[in-house]
Amino acid sequence: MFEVTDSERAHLRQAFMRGFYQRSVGTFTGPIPGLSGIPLFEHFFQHGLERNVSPTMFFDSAYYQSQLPQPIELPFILHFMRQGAAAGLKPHRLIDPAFIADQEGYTDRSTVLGWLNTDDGRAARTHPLFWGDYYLESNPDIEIPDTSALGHYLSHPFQLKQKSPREPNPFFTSRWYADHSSWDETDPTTPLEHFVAKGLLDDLSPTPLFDRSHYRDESGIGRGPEAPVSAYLHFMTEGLWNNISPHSMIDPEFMMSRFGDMLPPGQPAALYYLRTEHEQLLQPCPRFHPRGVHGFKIGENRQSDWRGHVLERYLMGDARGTRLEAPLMVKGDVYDELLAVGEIAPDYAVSFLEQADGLQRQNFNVFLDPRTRLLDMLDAEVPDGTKAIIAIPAFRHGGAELIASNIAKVFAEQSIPTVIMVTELAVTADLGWFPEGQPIVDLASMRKQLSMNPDDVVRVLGEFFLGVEPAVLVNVNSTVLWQTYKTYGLTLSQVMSLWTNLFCFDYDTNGFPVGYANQLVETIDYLDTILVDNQTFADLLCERFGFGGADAEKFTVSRTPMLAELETKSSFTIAEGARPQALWTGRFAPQKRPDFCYEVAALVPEVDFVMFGTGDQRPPESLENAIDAGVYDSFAGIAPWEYDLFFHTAAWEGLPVSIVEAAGAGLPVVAPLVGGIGEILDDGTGYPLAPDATPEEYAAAVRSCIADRTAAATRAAALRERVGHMHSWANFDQVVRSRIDALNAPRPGPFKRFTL
Amino acid sequence: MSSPDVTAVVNLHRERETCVPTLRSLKAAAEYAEEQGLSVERLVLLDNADDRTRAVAQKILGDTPRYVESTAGDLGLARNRAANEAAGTYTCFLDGDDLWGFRWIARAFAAADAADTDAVWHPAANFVSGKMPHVYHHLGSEHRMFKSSRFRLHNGWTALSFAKTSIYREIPYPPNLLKSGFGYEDWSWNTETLRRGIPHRVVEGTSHYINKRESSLLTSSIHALPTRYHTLDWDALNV
Repeated sequence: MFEVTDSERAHLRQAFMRGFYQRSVGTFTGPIPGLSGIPLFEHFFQHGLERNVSPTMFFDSAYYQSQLPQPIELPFILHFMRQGAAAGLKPHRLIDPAFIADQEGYTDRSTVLGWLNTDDGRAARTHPLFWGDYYLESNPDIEIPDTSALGHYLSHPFQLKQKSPREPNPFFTSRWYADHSSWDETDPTTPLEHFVAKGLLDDLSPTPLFDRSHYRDESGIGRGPEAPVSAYLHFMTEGLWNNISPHSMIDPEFMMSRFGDMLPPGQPAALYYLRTEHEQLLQPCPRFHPRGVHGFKIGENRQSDWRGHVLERYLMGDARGTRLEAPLMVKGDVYDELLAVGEIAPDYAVSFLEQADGLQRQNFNVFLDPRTRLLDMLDAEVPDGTKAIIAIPAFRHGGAELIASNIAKVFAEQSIPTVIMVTELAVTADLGWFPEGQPIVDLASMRKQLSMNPDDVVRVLGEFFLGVEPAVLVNVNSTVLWQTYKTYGLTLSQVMSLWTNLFCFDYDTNGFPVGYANQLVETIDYLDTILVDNQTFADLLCERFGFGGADAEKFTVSRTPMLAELETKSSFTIAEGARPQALWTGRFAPQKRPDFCYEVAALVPEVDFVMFGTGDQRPPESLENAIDAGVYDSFAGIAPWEYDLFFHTAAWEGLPVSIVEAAGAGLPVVAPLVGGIGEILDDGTGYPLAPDATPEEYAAAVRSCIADRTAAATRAAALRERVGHMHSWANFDQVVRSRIDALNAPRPGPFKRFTL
Repeated sequence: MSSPDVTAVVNLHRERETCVPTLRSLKAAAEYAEEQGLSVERLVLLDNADDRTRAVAQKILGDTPRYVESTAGDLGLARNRAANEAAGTYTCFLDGDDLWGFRWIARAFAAADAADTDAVWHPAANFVSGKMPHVYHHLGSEHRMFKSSRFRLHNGWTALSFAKTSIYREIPYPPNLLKSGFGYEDWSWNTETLRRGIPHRVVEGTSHYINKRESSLLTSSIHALPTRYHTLDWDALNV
């Protein structure tokens, strides 16, 4: 049961449509008392309301029900008034209360149905695609105040034989839509309702004035999975108002250059053109002139401003045999000059004269280039005086972010104004790793918003960096920065210092080295500093690529500092009867070989291997002692000091931060000597294994570590001491500062470098 | 003797007979300007030119122009040389494979002479030949639709500008430094003049004809960026 308040009843009465309700009851399929002997509204209130018989054509019960996630007992219209309106539900496909609030200023969504029956609501734009004011203005024969624009549209079905169809907005052509969609006259809904229900999802265009492909290119929204499903809806809500061209024959920039001064405030050029095309003989583009349409006469048979439709009819082919005045683009004095050029260079001039009408026109277009917009967005985000930009691919708890944040801290301590630029994956949350006051520029989100391809982004970044004039760019695993280095590294390196950080090679399925380190071949000349976290990798790169001399000196070993605040393991004793706990962290991905860990776990069933990390190669449920512990935010957060050993199985590495952190927590480490691990791990500091060691050899190392806890404690202490020295913050700080000191050093050549 | 109103410069290299239409367009524009009462100096800048190009210029233009030899080997530096040689109050440039509309000199002078401030002047329309012929419309820097960020990514104006000779002398073109990743001497110059507050304006009713060749300097500059004047050590350039 439900109760209706007085104010709700009053609003339902205001929204109530007698004729509509009468017809609705007539078609209602369930049992309902007859209408005789009772006022219609009382009938609704006593019988129709609880049966969801709609009291107004503005409330579509079936459509409303389709938006509900689960069945409700409350009558739909009451649910809408009490909760649904506030929750963003719509009473009808063509009524969007949020849009009405935004456009019309009527913000009480719960009473919007009654408001539509008021004088203020009768001409309302109820939906981005239904413009009540346009509808009434373009159909002056409709009598007001007997009906509202939307009510009239919904109750007067479109018929193909109509000479002048009543359209819901200036960019909707029902006859065209009938020809290009599944809608026909037998459809119980209007063309616009059909379009909103189906056409939007199929990215249809409801008018010849809108060319989806053209618009996607012009607006920069593109076609990828991230692009808006309906280009038309994007145009009607954004593009139109930003003067983006919807069709090659509608060129807002051209129009603004020709009659921009005539535009009423806030009126886009395309709308103004459509409104006045038959009166003012304005051109929507250089290639079309209303005068050129055969049989067109100014103002003929037009009842209102909006009834010209000359371009629309031309594009629909109604005006077959149309003749465009030629040459429209080349005229006046310029045409005379072109003719004169014909006397000097006939072939040249003729080629233009012959195609003058179809020549592609280009100019300095301010609206249509997403690259310009990206440059504007970046400029707005980066403060003046920025001296360092550190680029990272994402903003999550990963190795790239960790090294970038460490570099950023050194920059902050040196009072170098620094910006962090996230380039590939949009920022979703604050990491809390970077120093306060260093802006985070979310380039990834900007790229996504503008649907830009990488080449365009690189083009913008080249110019952007020159404009910011930083002393140093630091690339920590950003793909787009590597592309920028390759494309504009020569240019940028003349005036700023280019740094990068490399971790290690990856290897493809054939065992060939892949990854960012390979980019060095093309960029080594442009780079000043190549940060690596271990000497082994630097040596490997110099050996592989033949770098020597000044190139070799660019490699700078900046060892990732150990976490200072990490608690240290205090006891190595494993309690009687307790199962030893081995800690494994990393990505569940081929590089880290979690499957290898599973093999070892099967060989050492008396030990639990607790595995943290992201990725897909999760432990099999059948293996009870390989425990999937989920993901982790920070090493300290998983209390590593409570484990009995740290177990590492990677196939290739730089010098993994996890081992440094495990050493810092005082854990004995069992790991293969891949990458730079051998620089800290040996028989005196842990349990090293050959890169090609078998699972049995790993198992033996684990058992050895568990069996002799005194030796394990001794080795762990030695490792901690070694790492504490090599991976200290002071060391890292000193190394990075030595490179900073070089930034202001003069360089030979004709260019002055940007300095700190 | 007073200085001429305008020096009309054509930069030649080794165009040979292909520059005949260019020279004829210069001749037509200069004669039209003179018919309007202007005095026009013709200056042919021959930068590392060959004899055949020299002969073609002589045949089309005769002895009227001043012929200046240069060994700069760089279009920007050659223009600088021409600007230093020019006797006219104003100077305008024409490259060896492009054409002026016949009213260019006269109308550009009229616009500049009537203007409230010094400016750099450009034609309204450019007919650009090549694989995709098109008409490029210039937009002045003071136009409300001009956007400086757009200009940073796209050169707004061609090199065939018209301005006071003193502007070209005070703000010389940078050399193309493609081996250092900097090019587009005209874009660089446009950027610098704009940065110094000199507006770029359009002369209505005028046109140029630009021969866009695929092997032009423009395409070889594809990964270069416009030179920033303030990063250049002109002394170290030794030009």
